[in-house]
Amino acid sequence: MDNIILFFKNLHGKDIFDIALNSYIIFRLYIMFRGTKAFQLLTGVLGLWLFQRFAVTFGLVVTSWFMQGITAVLALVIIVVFRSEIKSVFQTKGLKAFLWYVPPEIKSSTLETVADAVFELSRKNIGALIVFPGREDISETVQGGTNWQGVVTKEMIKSVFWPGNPVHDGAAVIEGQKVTRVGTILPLSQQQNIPSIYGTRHRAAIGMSESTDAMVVTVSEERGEITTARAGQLKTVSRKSQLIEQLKDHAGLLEQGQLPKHNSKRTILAAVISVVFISGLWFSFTGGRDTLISLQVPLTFKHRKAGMEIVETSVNSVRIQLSGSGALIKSIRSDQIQVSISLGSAVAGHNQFIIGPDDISMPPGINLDRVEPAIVDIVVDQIITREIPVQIDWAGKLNERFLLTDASVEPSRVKISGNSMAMEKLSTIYTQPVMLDQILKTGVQTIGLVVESDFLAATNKVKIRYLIQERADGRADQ
Amino acid sequence: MRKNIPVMLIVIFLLGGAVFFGMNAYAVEGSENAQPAANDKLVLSEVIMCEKIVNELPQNPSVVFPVSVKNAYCYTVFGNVPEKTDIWHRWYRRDKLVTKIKLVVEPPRWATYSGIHIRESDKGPWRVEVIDQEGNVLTVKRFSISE
Repeated sequence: MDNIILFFKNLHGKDIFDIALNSYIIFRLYIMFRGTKAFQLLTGVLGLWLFQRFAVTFGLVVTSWFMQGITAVLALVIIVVFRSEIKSVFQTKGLKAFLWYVPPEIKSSTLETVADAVFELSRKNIGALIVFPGREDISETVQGGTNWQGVVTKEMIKSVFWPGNPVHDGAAVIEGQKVTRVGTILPLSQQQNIPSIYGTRHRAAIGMSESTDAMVVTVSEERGEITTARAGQLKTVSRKSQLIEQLKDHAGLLEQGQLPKHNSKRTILAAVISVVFISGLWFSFTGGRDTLISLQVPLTFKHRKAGMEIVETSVNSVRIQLSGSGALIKSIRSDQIQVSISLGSAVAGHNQFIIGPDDISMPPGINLDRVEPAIVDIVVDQIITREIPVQIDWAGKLNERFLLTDASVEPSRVKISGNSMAMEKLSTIYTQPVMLDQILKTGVQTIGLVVESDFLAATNKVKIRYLIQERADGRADQ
Repeated sequence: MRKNIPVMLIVIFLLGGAVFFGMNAYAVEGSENAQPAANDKLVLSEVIMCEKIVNELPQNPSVVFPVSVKNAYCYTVFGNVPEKTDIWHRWYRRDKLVTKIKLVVEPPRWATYSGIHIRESDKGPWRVEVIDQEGNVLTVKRFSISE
């Protein structure tokens, strides 16, 4: 009981959406596949899978292993054996029909026309065999015949089965509002208990309804009796309205209100089962309760403007407290959680950022509880370029007889790039030491500049010119 | 008179050329030694780094001062001083301010200097900034103190 209360307590909006969405998918799959053979087997596979989950829960190792194997094999078998059936379900319905109900193309008036024709054939004791395909593709089941593609009219149906017509012995296929094929051969049923009053035509009708989900209407040549065959079962039809109702039911044309009560109840039950099943699945997956975890996540920065440099940050990483289901929390890898602060609004100097959910990326199903610290101070700077004067760094000892009376640098200023705060402090770029010991006369030298790694210079070398004169008074220390 | 016209033209041409040449020389002299003169503006005409001052005049102008010379001076000449004012000599060693010396200059022209006593630990690149009362840098002289 506590678990159930916990289940509802921990349900968030997105969890409800998650359950609702998957329940609807399951329900729609049921709607599309119900009545097909594949569906029956799928139900069996689902049962086996549930059994296997129970076996896992109760620690039945061999049983769970065995069930897992059977389930996998059966799932594969279903796909291989019923590939055409599955294909036809998706082909005939499509995504639109899968998402919501789409009325079939067959019109009620077409079925009434067919019913009129069938009863007229019955009155005249003209044998007829008409196939109404269901969801399954029947092209591989019916053999031979002639492509027809004629719009359904009473006269045309009558003429197809008129004894003088060469195709009257075969079956006609009606799809939508058209007679698509005539004179086709249907597979005969292998049932032994078919009453002897029924001939080949009825055996073919039963055979076709056994092999596919098609409905077959038969008119007996001898007795004028009308029968319908669905899922291998023959039903005698005595009234036109009865035949129309069966045809409409087969074509899915019955209005919601006209649905037989047991059908409507089954649909509602399927919807409820879908919700309960997905809820159970969600609960078993999430464990129903929240687990907490704390992670130390390094800060990353995005949307950094060109030339912008991060000079200082108050922290390099933040502690994040996350909650979620135990299974999800346990499966979190450190690289799945990222804290990325957008520097799009940052200005040169001191900036303060509040870390919010938008700055944190994490796997779905995980909730962010707390970030510590939630506020990060970041000092950013802009790269600027300035012209800085160059000064010669004289070193060593000049011969005492000489005076170095003048010196110049070319260029006297060089372009230096660096972050604005560091550039603020930079007032001079010095050359590499120029040794005075070797200077005995006026001359020119090319010398490198000393540029710290924080800066970038437009040029690395300058030319220096210097003027040497002999001292008039002899020595420097006089 | 008409015969003298070409001679006169030549004389005029030569006189004109001489006047032009003289003005140019004055301008060069002016650009080297001083900023354009303006009566209401303090004009720094000359700055000399030298080893000593003898009779109020700079001796041994240099850009490299061996420790052995013991002193370094910055000698400044103001070509135009509209009114009595203060100027400063700021002495920097490797961009670090070492000393700031206040000097007084008086109309109409004035020469003044400041100096530092050189020690062994002072070796390296130096500069002197000449600053006016408003804090404007009038000029920068760069030199080094060597072994």
